[in-house]
Amino acid sequence: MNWTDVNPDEQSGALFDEVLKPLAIGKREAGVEPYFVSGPDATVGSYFVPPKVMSMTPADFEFPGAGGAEGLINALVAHWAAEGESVLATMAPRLNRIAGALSQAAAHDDGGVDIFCYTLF
Amino acid sequence: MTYLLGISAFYHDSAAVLVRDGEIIAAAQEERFSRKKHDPRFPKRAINYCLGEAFIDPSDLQAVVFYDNPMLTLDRVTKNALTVAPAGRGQFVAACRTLLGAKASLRMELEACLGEVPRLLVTPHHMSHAASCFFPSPFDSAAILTIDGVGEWATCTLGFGADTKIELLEEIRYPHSLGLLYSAFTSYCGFKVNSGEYKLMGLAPYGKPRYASLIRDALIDVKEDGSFRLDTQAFGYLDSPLMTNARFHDLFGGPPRLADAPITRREMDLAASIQHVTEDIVLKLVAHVFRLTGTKRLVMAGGVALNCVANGRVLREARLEGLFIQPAAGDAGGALGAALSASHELFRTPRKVNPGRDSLKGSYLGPAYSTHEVEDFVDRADAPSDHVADPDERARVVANALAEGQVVGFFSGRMEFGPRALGARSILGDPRRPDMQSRMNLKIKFRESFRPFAPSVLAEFAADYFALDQDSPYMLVTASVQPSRQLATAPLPSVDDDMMKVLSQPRSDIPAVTHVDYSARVQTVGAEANPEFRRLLQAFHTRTAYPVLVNTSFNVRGEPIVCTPQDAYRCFMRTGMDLLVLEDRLLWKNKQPTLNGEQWNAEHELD
Repeated sequence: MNWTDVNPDEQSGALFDEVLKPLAIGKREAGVEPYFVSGPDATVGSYFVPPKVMSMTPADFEFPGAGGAEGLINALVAHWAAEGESVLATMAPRLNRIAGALSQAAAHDDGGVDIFCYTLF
Repeated sequence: MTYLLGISAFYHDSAAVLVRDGEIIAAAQEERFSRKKHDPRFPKRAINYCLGEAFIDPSDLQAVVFYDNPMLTLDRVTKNALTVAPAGRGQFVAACRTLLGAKASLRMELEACLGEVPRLLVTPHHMSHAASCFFPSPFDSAAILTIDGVGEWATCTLGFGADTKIELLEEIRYPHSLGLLYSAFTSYCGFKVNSGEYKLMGLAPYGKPRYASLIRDALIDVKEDGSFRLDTQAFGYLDSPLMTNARFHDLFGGPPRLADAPITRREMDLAASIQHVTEDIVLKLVAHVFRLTGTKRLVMAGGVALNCVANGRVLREARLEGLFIQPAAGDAGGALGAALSASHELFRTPRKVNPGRDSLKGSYLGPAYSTHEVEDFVDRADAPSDHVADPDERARVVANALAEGQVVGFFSGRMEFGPRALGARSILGDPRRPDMQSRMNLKIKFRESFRPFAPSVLAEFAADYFALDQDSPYMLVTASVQPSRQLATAPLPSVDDDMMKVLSQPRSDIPAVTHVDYSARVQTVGAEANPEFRRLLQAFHTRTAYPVLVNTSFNVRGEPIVCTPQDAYRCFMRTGMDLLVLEDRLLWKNKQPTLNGEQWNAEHELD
């Protein structure tokens, strides 16, 4: 199958179904800490945490992947690898295929986000 | 010279800002040129304007600076999916569409727009907000508070700025977000997220905060230092296309209001409740950032900083030594912060601070049109106009029209950057007239009748009318109408759902700008403001003894604020405005030809 012939949304959906969903269920069953907590905690005095970037160094200004999709994905994979998330890093080829398909469909995309996609705020 | 171009794009309110050696040269949102409200697309028209304003070519740019880090947003989206799966499939697919599509093709967009790709830089989302409010502020050093929905992982940051450095000290992370909490109630009350928050804030004074305790008990835990965490089990935004879910609906007595359904007591009380909770949290955050930083000068940005009612409470209750809120506090202003951050923190441009005066140039950072261009336009459009070259005479004629109850479209000088009209692209009216609010809402703006209008007042007379002890040039704080001007109103049954009964009672001698709780969202017009607008206020003062005008943005519901003379004329002709001022020309409605076959509401989606 030529991956670029497949609708990018279908590819993203397949990535979710075939990789993210089993991974999420597996992590949950193994009792792995979630990436974020879902509710209040009466035992802590504050919910503040230190910012990931506290002040800007020259390196912080460098655009991840120099503004292209492949570079962005490579930067993300490196970020995950540095965090010890090697399983996530294996998604790189599929993310690249989605980006490739989206780039072919770009003429139909106005850059806007579905108004109901609140996680992108 | 160092020219830096800041860009925000690909979610909502894309914008471009040009900075030269730390000085803000030009800033504009793409929507003003494309005529698409909240336009999220790559801001090619705004970029063209910025470069043209400075008479430079793309090759003169040292760098382009993007306002948030798409790699970290993709990281969050992926980890969100891993947390909520098997739910959240649709959210993940929609997010990939943007993050691996448009947002990942910034380089291509730049090349297509500029013909080349300058050095490409990035600043984290909340660092952009922080830079957007600290660097242009009139303070050498200040505490920084940014609050919005979410940017990368952060939803709220507290920091400190001094000279050319910003340090962020603490943050709250997704999914715990005050902006998303407010948006959840916006959506639940039947208004659009991202544009309806202002309506919810305007609705709040009609209600009582009877749900505030429930919100605190069931939805958000707030610590003494203002840090907070949501109970995400009651929200839909992590894994569905809805802000709220069944648990939320059970808590507040039923399903969300539909957009076209009547507004009831429940929505009024919900609005009052979330507004009350939000204000309390903002006040706690301000107190905490003061303790952290040891200063009582405060700068703010992020979408929540557009909540002028909360800002008013900060001004009155936080014992400040100074407050600066950047007027394009939402994502459009991220472009400003990105450019300024790179200018000062990477290119080491010294920062010039003028105590008591910010460096935003009144936020008049958009395009202007010369009198010759206006003349060409009215000739081309066959639009009859009176040329009144003398500025004082022009102001006198317009002030007379206003005093006689006419509604005036006012187009003068450089367009404002940010969501508020500050006298460059404004619709103006006489605040003394009890019917002016409903008239302007229904026949001019075509928007909901309950929404209040804001006053512009000559700065030197502001204290005579409003309980306000500092300038408010950007219309970002509310203050009470002075008690001596307030009128008693007849008591209404507390269960009455009819807002019009509440609304129709005059509450002061400037009823058109006095909200139901006697508050007003004030713009003080001082010497730094648009001179033509200030001259008009002075003429109205001379004519009526009132230095106050109703000032609302020059657009109709769902339309971006007008940018060009053409936009202004089209809006004028489609609405019930009586007079259009285009720089030095006056266009009277009763002298214009009939505009056939044009329907504004077919062109602009309602917000």
